[in-house]
Amino acid sequence: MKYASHDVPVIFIGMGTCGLASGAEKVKVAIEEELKKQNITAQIVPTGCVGYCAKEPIVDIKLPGKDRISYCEVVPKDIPDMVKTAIVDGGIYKKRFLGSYGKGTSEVPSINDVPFFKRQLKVVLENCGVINPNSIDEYIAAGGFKALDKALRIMTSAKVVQEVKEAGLRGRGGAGFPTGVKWEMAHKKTADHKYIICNADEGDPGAFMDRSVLESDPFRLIEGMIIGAYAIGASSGYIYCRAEYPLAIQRLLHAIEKCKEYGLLGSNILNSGFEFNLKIKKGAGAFVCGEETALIASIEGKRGMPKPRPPFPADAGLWGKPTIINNVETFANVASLINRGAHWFSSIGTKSSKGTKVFALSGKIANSGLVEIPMGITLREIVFDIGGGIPDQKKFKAVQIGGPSGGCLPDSVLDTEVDYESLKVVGAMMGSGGFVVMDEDTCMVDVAKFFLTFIKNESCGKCVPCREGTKRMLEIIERIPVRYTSSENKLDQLQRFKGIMHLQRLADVIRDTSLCGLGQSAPNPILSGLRYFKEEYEEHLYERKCSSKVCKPLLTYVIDTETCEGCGLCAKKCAAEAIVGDKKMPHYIVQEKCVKCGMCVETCRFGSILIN
Amino acid sequence: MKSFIEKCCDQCWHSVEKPCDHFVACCTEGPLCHKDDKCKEKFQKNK
Repeated sequence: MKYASHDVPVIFIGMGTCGLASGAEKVKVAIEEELKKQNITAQIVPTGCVGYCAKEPIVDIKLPGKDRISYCEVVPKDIPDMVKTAIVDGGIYKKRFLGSYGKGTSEVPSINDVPFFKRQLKVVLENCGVINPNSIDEYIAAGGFKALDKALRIMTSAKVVQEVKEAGLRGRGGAGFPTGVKWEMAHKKTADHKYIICNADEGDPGAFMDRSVLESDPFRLIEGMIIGAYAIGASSGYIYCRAEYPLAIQRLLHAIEKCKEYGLLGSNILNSGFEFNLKIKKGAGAFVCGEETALIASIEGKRGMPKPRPPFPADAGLWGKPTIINNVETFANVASLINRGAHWFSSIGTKSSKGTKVFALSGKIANSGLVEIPMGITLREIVFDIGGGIPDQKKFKAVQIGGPSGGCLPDSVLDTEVDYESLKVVGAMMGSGGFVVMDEDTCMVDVAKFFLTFIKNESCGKCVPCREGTKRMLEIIERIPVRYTSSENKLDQLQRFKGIMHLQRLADVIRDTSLCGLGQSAPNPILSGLRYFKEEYEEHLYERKCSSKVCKPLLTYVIDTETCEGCGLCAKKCAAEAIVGDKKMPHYIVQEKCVKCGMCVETCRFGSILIN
Repeated sequence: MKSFIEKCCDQCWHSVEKPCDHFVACCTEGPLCHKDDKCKEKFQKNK
């Protein structure tokens, strides 16, 4: 591994988006200043994200001839002590110690024994947070481009396709279509030009797997794409990346230039006679452009809208030519698969879902970040063993898998294995890897409203079931928590019940008749909500109550006259002038005027505002 | 030799215009086309 033979200390700083957001840049400046102050010669290497986003900024120190030691949640004021202890004295700075990249001892445990990493199996993420994403040399030193070398020198294109097919790699973008079968379709097509596209238009709320791979190991994606292009006979490729990922785009552009400089992109790659050129196309952030025909339209300069299939892109895709589209994680699997072989890859996972899957843990979970697990482990293991459970002693309520088109799963199905088929059975889907955990304070009606709002806003409008259906579903859901005043027409209340009665049928129609996957899976948040959290919907409807205290129209704010000191602060802050009372006397909230903004709760210093 | 693209000596001929089939293997195990301890040391140090 690179740096093994270095004779000066090497300091690695996690500078992915998560690291930078946590203050890695300030930590880097502090380290540079301290090294200068103490007259220490050391090399500083920026890396990507190691996955443990909750513990950023992460700084690793490797002294010559010693193991690399990882420190977490480092802040600038730690640096003087840290440099003295870990570099000058050659010891361990225990205050921020995370783990050792070496074998580990009882005093200095291995990073692989940290619960967050223990159950993980890193294939796609093996270099993330470990190497400098801007250094092609580091990627090569870590075994990079060996798979390309093998494919071009030893394997025929048909053999590469066969290997991917035998490995059982399935598309990691969501649907799980077998990658080898897809590649074979394009491989068999005769055409003067073929294309390969990487779908890096990661749009699911709560998903950041692709961004992290692009930022932390861009050469792995490029290597996978070159191998894919060789397999199907494509000479041009695009990475369709959302413009909201500026760091990823910057690192990809740099990586593409480096590959050209090293003769790994362009004509006659490694003297094989194979030519492949790669470009980046920035997406404008439309969720529907993650759908492959819409993505192709967007690259062609048209409005991003899906087309009916067939023809499939493998037959007639970009500019009417055979085109293969895979997502970032799928391509990022290819190099390891070719290097270690189909047998190795298919030995990981379950009968129908091979290999590993990367998930982005977010929401109410202790260890938020990026995890890569072998297919087949349970959701419970991800939430509690890797994710560290729910913070603040709160209870687990649900996990949302598969993005807005996925489903919310309760505790009763947490022992489900991570597997394309098993997740479908319980009403969710693998999706691209969003994994949003919710605790007891989350209202499932509100969650359904959030995802439906997202889907309605992102519907391209081409087909009626999705365009109109998602809007109508959202209206029904929005009507659930509304509290009508007695003066309003009772018809509105009747509409609320009527809507609920029609919800299931409407969901079925949208699922069965929409043009693309976005519409077909749009009802999933509602369907899984009705399946697993029916009582909560009923509570909102019949008891007009939101136990999670989220749906504001159903809440009543009252002042506890026993504890109210009559300071008047809440009355001053109340924009609706709903709070009345004399000075130093208990105050009251006029319910008719109250707009449930919650400002009084935030203002009261005595905890006298109660929410019923 | 600061990077793998740099030539270890005059005997290395890999370039974008005239690529070597063994470039990738050479980076980590090189030099492969000739024997030279000094060149080997350069590769090892970069590795």
